[in-house]
Amino acid sequence: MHDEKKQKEELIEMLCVEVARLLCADDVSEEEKLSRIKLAEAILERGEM
Amino acid sequence: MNAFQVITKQVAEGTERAAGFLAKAAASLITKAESIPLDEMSRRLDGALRALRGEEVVKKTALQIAREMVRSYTFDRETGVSTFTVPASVTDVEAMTVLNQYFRNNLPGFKRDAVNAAGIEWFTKLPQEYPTSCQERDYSQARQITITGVVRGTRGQARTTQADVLKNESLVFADPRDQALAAAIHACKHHGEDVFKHMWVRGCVPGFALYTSRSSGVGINGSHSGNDGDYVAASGSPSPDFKNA
Repeated sequence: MHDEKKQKEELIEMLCVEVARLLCADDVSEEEKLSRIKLAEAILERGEM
Repeated sequence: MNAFQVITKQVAEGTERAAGFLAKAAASLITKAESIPLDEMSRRLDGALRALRGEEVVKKTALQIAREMVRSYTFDRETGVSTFTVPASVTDVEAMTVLNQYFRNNLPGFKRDAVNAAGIEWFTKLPQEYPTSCQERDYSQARQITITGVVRGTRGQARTTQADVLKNESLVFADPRDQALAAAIHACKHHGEDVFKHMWVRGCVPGFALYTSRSSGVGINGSHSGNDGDYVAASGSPSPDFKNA
């Protein structure tokens, strides 16, 4: 159970890193950033690509 | 400072880059991720990361997935070896579901509830390197599944011996549809839950080997005269519809 929690924390950390990287990217428009975030959210939520 | 702290700090400071709805959307994404079970999350994360990186994310319908798998079929009638590819990001269970749907829609000659999962092992074998646990499989990559037909009474014997048995009776292995579907079933067998509950394939297999004569439909349990077993499949050659789907 503890391992699962740790694994999940690691996965969320990976997600956070990618989100932070996207938010800080200078070469991506705000609109595009939002679009990517929404798409990632949909994929996570429904498991679809 | 970890990544999450970076985001929350940006939200708090209202910095230009992460201000307003954008940062809130990011926070919402992470909150949702936290509510997804671990096994599901690890499966879905790859797609989410790709989306964030702006890599190509292809939205596929069930029909598109089924068509890809159907197109990828290869079959050697003499050796009984067939293969098909499950596209990237499609789980075995999803592959099974869309295949069933596809067969139902396109091949009305197939009888529902025809095959029992308990019989699958007798006429299919997955490659040893293919993990039996779904959780061990890498769904983010397309993967080819190879299916080897097994002739009744020859399990464990050389492929040439098995092929000879069929040849002596003027039989050849069943067509790719049966083999591929059987493999999809088998691939899902060790998932720990009854993935067949609402599936097309369920019922009874009276024999072990599934093969077809060169000139007629699929027979089972020594029958090679067509649709006289419990298992009923489209007879003759694979239909043009199927091939061109």
